[in-house]
Amino acid sequence: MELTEKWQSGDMSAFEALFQQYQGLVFKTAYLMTSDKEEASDVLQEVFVTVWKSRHTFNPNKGKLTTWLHRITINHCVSRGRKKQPASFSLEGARDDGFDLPETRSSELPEESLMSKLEYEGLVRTIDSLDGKHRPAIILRYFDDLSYDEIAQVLGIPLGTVKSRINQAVRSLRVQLGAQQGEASS
Amino acid sequence: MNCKGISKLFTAYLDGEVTADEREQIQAHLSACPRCREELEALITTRSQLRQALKVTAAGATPSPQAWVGLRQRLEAEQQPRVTIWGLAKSKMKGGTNMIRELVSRQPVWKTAVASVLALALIAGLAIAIPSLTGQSPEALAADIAQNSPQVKAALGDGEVQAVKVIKIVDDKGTVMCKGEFGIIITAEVDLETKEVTEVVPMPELTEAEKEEAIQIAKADPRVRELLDQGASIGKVSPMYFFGVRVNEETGETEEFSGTLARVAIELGEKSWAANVNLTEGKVQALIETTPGAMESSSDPEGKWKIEYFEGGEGPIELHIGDGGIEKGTK
Repeated sequence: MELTEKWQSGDMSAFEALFQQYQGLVFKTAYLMTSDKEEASDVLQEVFVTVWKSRHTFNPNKGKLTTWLHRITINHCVSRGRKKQPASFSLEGARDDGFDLPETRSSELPEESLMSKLEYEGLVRTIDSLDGKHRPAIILRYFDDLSYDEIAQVLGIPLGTVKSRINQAVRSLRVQLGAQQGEASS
Repeated sequence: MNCKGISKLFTAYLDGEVTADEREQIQAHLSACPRCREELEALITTRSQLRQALKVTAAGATPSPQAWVGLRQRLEAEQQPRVTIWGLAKSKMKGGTNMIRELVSRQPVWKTAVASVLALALIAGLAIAIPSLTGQSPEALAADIAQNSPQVKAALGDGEVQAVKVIKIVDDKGTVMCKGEFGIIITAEVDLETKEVTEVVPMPELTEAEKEEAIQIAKADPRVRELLDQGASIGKVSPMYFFGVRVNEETGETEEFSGTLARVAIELGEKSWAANVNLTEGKVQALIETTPGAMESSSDPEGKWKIEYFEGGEGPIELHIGDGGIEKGTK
């Protein structure tokens, strides 16, 4: 019996194997969506509770498991985001709260990095400022490497909408980054 | 195609997501347009920086080593509701009404079904709660049957059933409201004897006359009038269920109540409100500032009552995995 068949039939050991295999994918996507590790941990739990409860509804012959996982993950993140007040992301405030900030990772930018630490911080801020429609599209495309067609399936939107959201988001990031760099150099 | 039309395709072009025809048009345009070449170069840099920023940020995010243990415990706890009822039944002796308020106001959405059932168990008192140890209370049973019904899940577009509220129990029949993760609301008629869902009914729609009446009632409310005077406009009118918990001031007991309302959306700039109109009483029961997708609720500042509102969606929406992957359609 395949792993998928096993967890779908209620085998908890097989479900644990599934969790171990995909928890990184779900957690990282959730973290990029929420910018908050606690939120990402909650989403991770909720996603796999949904997977367990809805295990009979997944048909491996008709769709990829990762597409299904991405859809559930994004739905939970968007739904949680709506319940919260829109956050204005503050590197300083978040650092005080003891979170492991993206900024602290900037020391790990590779030598041949395409950007400076300042540019990296600016980019993280602008990604955080994207709304609930554009942010998932950008993360699914440029972090999870999904094709536009897969993104359309995950978000339940037409292919043309995926194209325009990604185009708008990348352009918006470019403009905002340009503005930030202009401010920094003036 | 001119510069504006061509440049809209640049990101898809870089992602390899344009047709052969579009690619040809873009390349022909680029060979003749230095400004668009410059624009494309800038987008190439932004895309690469974006990829790198996401990669570096995610590299610092790893799940807790205890994540599986936590998940396993949660799944096990959800499979043992009777233990929880026992715990709460005992806690009633220490002051049950506060417990209900805490449950209703603090628990995440997925727990509201349990909270509702437990609140009912508390209201009914130990006489009902203790016998439920050997068999679920009718409310818990009705909620359980509805929540686990494949019919209900299908009607909600699959995925998680996020909220379950028992509307009424008459003899061995129950009516249960269920809300799914895509915002669809249905009511399920449940047979407690056969433990089956006998009917799944979409939320009843308001007639045009009822919608008009709701708007007129809302417009007559001074709080709504104030918003309209500031330039607000009336939006969609939709049906809504409400479920509340209140403390009966005479007896000191906590009681649940529920009913239907007409929700009149009001929009002013980026802000929006819901005027929840009670058509029977001809008044606005509550005016709430809303956040899209968030749970709508109102409560007494002193904690004597709390009401949760469930707006009827546009469903039922069908989501299924088809030949092309996950597909969405409206029945």
